[in-house]
Amino acid sequence: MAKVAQEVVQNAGVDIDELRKKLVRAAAAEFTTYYYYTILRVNAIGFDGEGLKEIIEDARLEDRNHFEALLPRIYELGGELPRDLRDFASEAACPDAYLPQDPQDMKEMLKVLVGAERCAVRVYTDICEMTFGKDHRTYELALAILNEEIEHEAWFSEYLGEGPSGHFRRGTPGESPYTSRFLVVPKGHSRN
Amino acid sequence: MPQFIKIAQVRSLAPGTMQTFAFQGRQVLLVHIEGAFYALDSRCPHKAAPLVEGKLWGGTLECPWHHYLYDVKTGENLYPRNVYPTDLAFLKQDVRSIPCYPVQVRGEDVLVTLD
Repeated sequence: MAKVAQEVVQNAGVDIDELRKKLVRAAAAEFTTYYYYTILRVNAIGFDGEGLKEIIEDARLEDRNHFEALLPRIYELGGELPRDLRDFASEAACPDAYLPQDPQDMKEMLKVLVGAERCAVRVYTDICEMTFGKDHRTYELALAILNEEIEHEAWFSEYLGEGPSGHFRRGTPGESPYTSRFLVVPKGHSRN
Repeated sequence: MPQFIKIAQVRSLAPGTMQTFAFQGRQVLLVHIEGAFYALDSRCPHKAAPLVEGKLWGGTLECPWHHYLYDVKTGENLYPRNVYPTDLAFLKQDVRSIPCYPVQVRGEDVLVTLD
């Protein structure tokens, strides 16, 4: 048990119970979004030269990375995941990113995607604000995830015609340039 | 005629803030936006989160637990209602509006009616 790691957070004035709940809800949102983005990606095949499919795939894989990166911190802080997956999913910090009624409607799909990313930006901004200057490790993690969520929002927003994102897509799918350093196995399972 | 009863003083709530008040056996969320006051149920209709712990983005209220968005003036769900597929009827109960109550400002007092 990370006893001192918890004490320093508590002594800094953070409501550690509330923080644990926020982190579990955030992890649940990443987990469910990974699932729903899989469906969206499958249905995006053929749209616009498959460019949309590629950025959904980047966001999908990076959301899975976010789930993986959040887990150690939840347990370090004395939290845990619910034993039942259904309980976990129902606690997700963001709404489910359902496939639109008409799966061929690209604009509707983009609205789902950009809405989900904007929700994620609010989730991690909230955690950053709660931990800034108090819980340095959670803050750094939340900030790293926030950086990627902001980029995801910009990609989908650009696709909707709301303006340029200012950056290009990932070099490799799901690269997680900000979050990968928090992953236990950042680059697959190879030790080479 | 609905009976308006004092719930707070105008100066007790700064613009851009909100506060919960015990009022006639209920918890009412009072929100102050640009000189106007709005009264809503204090709990999110989705999973009963205490909305006072959420955030205000102008006239939009964000639930603290699942980050649903509501129009403070009407209580209407703005997100995810705008992206939830209408063919999944079971989702309708998730995106209900927050009940709102009429508000009047008389002098220095903010009055609300639950009628």
